Amino acid sequence: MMDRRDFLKSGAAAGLFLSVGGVVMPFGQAFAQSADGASLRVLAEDGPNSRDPHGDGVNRASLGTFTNIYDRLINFDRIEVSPGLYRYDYSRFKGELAERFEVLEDGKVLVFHLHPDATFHDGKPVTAADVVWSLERGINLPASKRQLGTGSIVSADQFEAVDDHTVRLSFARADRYTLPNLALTFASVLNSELVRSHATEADPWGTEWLRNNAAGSGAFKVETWTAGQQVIYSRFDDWKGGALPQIRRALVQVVPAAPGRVAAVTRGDADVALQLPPKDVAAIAADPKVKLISLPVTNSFRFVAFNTRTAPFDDVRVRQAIAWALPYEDMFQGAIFGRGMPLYGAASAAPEGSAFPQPYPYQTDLDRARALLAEAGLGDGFETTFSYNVADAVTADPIALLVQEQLGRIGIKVTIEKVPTANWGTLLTEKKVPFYVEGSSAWFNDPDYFFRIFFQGDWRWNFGSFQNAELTVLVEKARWETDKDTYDDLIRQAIAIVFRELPIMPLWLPSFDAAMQPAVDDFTYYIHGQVDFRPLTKSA
Amino acid sequence: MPALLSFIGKRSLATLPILAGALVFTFVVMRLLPADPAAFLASGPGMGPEEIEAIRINLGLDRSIPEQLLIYAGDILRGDLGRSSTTGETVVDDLAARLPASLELTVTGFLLAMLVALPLGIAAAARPGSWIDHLCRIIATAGTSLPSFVIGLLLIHIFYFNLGWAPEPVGRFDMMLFPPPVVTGSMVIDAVLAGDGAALRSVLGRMVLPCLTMALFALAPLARITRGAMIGVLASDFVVAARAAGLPRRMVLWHYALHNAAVPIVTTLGLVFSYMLGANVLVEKVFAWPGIGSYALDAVMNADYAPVQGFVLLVAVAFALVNLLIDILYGLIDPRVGRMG
Repeated sequence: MMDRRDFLKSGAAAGLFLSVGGVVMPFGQAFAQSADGASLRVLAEDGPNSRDPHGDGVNRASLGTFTNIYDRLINFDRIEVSPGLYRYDYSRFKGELAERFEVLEDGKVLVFHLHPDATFHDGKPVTAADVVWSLERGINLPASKRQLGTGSIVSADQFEAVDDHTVRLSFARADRYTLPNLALTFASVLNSELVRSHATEADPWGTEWLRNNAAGSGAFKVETWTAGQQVIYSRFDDWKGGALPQIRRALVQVVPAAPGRVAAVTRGDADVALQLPPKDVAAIAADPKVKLISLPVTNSFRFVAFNTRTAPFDDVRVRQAIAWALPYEDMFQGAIFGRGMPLYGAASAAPEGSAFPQPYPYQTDLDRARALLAEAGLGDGFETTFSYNVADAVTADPIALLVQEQLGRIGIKVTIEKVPTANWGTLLTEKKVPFYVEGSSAWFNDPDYFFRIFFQGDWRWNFGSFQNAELTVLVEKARWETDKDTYDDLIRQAIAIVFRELPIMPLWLPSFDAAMQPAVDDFTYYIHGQVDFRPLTKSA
Repeated sequence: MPALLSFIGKRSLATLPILAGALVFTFVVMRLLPADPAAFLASGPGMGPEEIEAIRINLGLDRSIPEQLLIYAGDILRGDLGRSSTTGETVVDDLAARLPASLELTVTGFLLAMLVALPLGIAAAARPGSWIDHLCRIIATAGTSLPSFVIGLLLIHIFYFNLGWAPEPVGRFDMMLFPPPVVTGSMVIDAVLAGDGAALRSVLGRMVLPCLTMALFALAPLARITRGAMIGVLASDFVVAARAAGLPRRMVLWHYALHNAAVPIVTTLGLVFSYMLGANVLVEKVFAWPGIGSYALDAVMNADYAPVQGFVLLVAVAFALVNLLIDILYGLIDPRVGRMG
């Protein structure tokens, strides 16, 4: 593994060598696009900023890195959405480092049998001790601790290395969130000897070192890493976590401006372009030279939020009035060009099944909005601000303008506030924004999981600052409920509460869009929306 | 020569308090912003108050501002500018890797702009009201009113997307080739040193559009100031006298007039250069050019203190160097200035 300092040094050395000996040594790595379709070039808005799956401040692009350079015990299985396009299946798992696994004692014990020949990139065999140490590291570092905790993975005495290739995890009670958590990048298995050799007394988990180095057994190794610009991956030919990938080398390059990414993929210079603005997606969809894939992101949603603890939004009638006033169709078309799944306009006031998020029973009806405002004693309207994060402007700006215009019709005078990205997190954490638009996502899609993150607690993710004792009881019951019908019933009651109380008004599920060359096939959409090189194929 | 050296020495010492001031000012301003880096970093759904607190302690933000400043000052004396949470690398490494890219773009764009703007401004001043004067005015107006990223996107659309003449506007180098060994960090110089023709062609090809964009951006102020300074000088008594004395027109223009108009022109050159080095963020973004401007912008957006402070320090040093150079040039243009130093 080369870090940048070595890179510069060896570069300088190579330069010296050249000028003295005159021998041309190909230094650095060209990214030769071979005719057999073995290399892949991906353009993204951001580059990864860490190789530590438990690191602080790890950005979204890093999740793609973790997926490709590390293995987990297990991974989500996948389902085919349309020919050559897959999405992860949240309910089924397949072994990755584990050849097979057993669920024993009604789920209170999980036993994983590691692939006996699996090795890390440096050749050291992957052992049960590595798995145990990696899980311990995960529950000790702040960035991964809480997430693993949602799957009852909390304490070191739950993990046991039975022998070199068998790991036993035990739980006080069976938790349906354990397996999904083990499939997340937070449960990546690290080369414990290698990381420990770089740990210090002040940094017992080797976080300083791992940030800029990798210690995995995954299907790909980092070949060169140029922070903020590009990362080149090469295949680990001894990978045992699955079928050997067809892609031998992959280059992920940072192109911050969307027009650059779109132009390069349209002209055939790049294989895959990610993070496409909705208006470009519409144009690409009409271009026969480019393959566009679009999938609804079911664990992510866009919404308008109210601070339910400050006037006038502490009055449920005001929140409902706004929900009846919002110009949903115009927002859906104007902001995301209709690329997504509406979460408004449900015909029935009662929840449809227990899926969440699901469409709310509100649509544009200004008369009802006016009546509710009058009932709340605000028939003459009021003044408020509507805020959004500047980094989110492509989608949020048209929404804000439409909200401002529409609410003006029912007497609410809205001032739009564009909040600098750096401040946004702080303001939301401190609950200082009365009325705003935001998007968010949860790792898992189960309704009770969603509710725990977004509708309770004194933290940023409770966007509506909502407190409701009845809801808390329902969600807590559902957390451990194993009977499907009882669970659905509890969740339907919980959904009815948020329909009525409206701490936030969801707008739509966004769509995951990626543009690629027609030769690129078998793309598998994964929770984090990054490119998993392992299952990809590319015809010559 | 000793006089020049002592002048440079004195000026360099005088910049130290300015650099220290810039440092403390940025340090304090960043911490007065309402943005909490820990809240920003704890951005994963489910990260709550305990996680934010743990990150704050990791970053050393639980200490008082004077204490943080002392620690930071100590680190700087050891050559440590801290670490960027945006890229995960040390700020020194990041800036060292990115400064050559910015310099390459700025210097080339600047030279291009100078080559066009100075003759244009002089010609416009020599013949006020002529077509060349109107051209100068049109360019100055267009250059001021069109934002540089619009020019960049326009060039990309025409020359890459429609005509296919320009290479893909992504970064400094074609990834299908072997990059030249890193010696200076400037890919042009490195490719020449390596004697690698293919690499040099790729590097130069990718510089054309961003450099043109930068040059168009710098053209306007340079042409305007050159024209203005020359018109002023050409109307002054000594030029009238020189003309009356029958000196050749060419000699009056190039020798007497330009020499006397040089001081404001050199001042503007220095300002424009410094400005281009720090403020070409949008051009860097549009062309995915890995320079210091886009680096600093990303850091500001991410409430990432260390890179912003490192960037301000670097740009302050660059301003100081450019100003020093300008002062030396003043001395050469006008010997009276030199004696004062």
